[in-house]
Amino acid sequence: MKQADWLIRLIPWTGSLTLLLMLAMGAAVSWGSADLGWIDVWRVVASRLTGSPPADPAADAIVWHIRLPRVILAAMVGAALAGAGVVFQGLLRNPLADPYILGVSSGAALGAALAIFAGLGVSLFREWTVPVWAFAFASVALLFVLGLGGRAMRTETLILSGVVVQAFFGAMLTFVIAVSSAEEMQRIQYWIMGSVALREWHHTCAILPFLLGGLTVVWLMSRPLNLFTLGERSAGHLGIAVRRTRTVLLLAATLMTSAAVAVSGTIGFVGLVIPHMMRRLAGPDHRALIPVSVLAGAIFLVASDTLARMVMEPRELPIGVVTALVGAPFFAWQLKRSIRFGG
Amino acid sequence: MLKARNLWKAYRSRHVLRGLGVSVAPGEMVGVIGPNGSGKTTLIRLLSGEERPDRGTVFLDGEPISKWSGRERAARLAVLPQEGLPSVPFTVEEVVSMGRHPHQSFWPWAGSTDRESVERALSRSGLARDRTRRVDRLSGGERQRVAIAKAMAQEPKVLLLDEPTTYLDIAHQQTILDRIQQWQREEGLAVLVVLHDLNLASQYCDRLLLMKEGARWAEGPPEKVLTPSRLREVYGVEPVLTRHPVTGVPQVLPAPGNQNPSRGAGAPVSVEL
Repeated sequence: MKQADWLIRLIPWTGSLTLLLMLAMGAAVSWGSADLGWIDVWRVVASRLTGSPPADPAADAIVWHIRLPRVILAAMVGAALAGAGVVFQGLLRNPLADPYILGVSSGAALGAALAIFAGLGVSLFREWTVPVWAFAFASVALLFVLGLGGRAMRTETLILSGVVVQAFFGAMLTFVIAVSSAEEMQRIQYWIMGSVALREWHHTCAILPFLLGGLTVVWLMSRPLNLFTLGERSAGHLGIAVRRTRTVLLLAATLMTSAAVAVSGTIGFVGLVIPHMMRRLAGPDHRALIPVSVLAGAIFLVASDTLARMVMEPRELPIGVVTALVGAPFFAWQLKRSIRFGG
Repeated sequence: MLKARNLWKAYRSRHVLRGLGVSVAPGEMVGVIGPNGSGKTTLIRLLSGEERPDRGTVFLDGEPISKWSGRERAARLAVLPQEGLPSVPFTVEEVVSMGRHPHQSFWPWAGSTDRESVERALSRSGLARDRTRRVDRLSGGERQRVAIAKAMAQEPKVLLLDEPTTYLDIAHQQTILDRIQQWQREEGLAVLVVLHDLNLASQYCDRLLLMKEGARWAEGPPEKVLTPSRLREVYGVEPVLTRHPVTGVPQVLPAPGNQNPSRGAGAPVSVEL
């Protein structure tokens, strides 16, 4: 007698995806412009982990201070965006919901830009300043979208409200850019396109608690999230406190999105493509779908970032370009399908 | 089991329910009938605890329904809304298992001890062989059967149904209502069902509540409620009443305007067999 289908799907898929993630991260750390062999790279990691003095200070600097934080950050950003995407899709009962398409990312981007370049509230929030502002503005953006689109979102409404919200926050962001200095302007531009370049350990530390906290909350509520797919009324009839559950889940997803945007700008389509693909592998049960999507999102972003670094070497593409090249056609295909089936 | 007293409800100052009272005893099936806009769906929303009445109280299992937590309420009362099950990619078995939610603890891994209830619900609703089929690949009638199996897995004492047969063909209408009746009789379930189809209501319900403009117009066994004068008063038409050739319950046939000899005369036609 099979006990629980979701466990049967969860364990092998998380197992193999974890392995794949490790491999992808190992490869990403090893590949790069500075001529370092795999062995040099792993020697650095080993010496750091064991606490022994580095044999080669140059290699140590490259691996430990440049590549590793970047790769780990890419993995965390991918995990956060994919996790948020699953939650938005489940709650809004629409497979096209994604933090970027909903405009939540652009809200977070405006908040983060204000925090980075105006430095508001640094004394109060210290290293969390950027994520906190990103979260505040992302929540406002989400409120707008939900206010415009209503509860169970038809595809057209979802996209149109996303467009409106993105247009508004995008304009505000342009305004911030316009009033900043030429040098800042270039930095913001690059950051908006989405990038994990030049990130350091403190960036990683700044989003880790948000990511872990958000993921824990979301996974613990994955069974109620399953019931939400039957509709909010049905979920209520089954004893779910609909409003409270919905609010907590939306806040958690927004928090993860904001944390990702705060360190890497707006990277689109991860939350759209990954949950969709993973639903095929792991089924619709969120207890399996969330962990599996989170891992796959991490792999996807590590791979995209590596591509972004390598394709036009020595120049770097913003990672958002790579994910959009994959994601936008995918989105178009899904949109076509959803319209055909009256989604 | 379920009892409501003096329910009032208004939306934007339009009174939808005006002092309605209703009660359902264990093992009883009560049908709610009435024209569109008479407040039937609102009644379901209030009885299910989904919305609160402006005045009046709903009692579930002897307590005001607002006293129960969401889970406690759902462990006692199941609802089949009009829309039925949406097109979800879950399997039949997964959806039926969702009915166990009110009996499970908070943790995501809870629920492995609920197999028995799920199995029973599946086999009683004739879905045991369809358990691995995806709900979004089922027909409307099959989906409604899954919804009932989900409600069975919920193991409630009261079942509320809002027009469960509206979109179904005659075979599915009959199967669905037969299943519910069997469940009601075997387990002493208290059932309140909103039905548009007067003939089905007459056939399956022990008692009918005829509503007009948010209040009770008539209540009692089908023979007492489905009378020509009452139907004229409430629906404004003069149907033909006859008896079911097999079960003998009253049946209502539409009388098309151009063929109704009594049209305009004001005299309802009643055929006694």
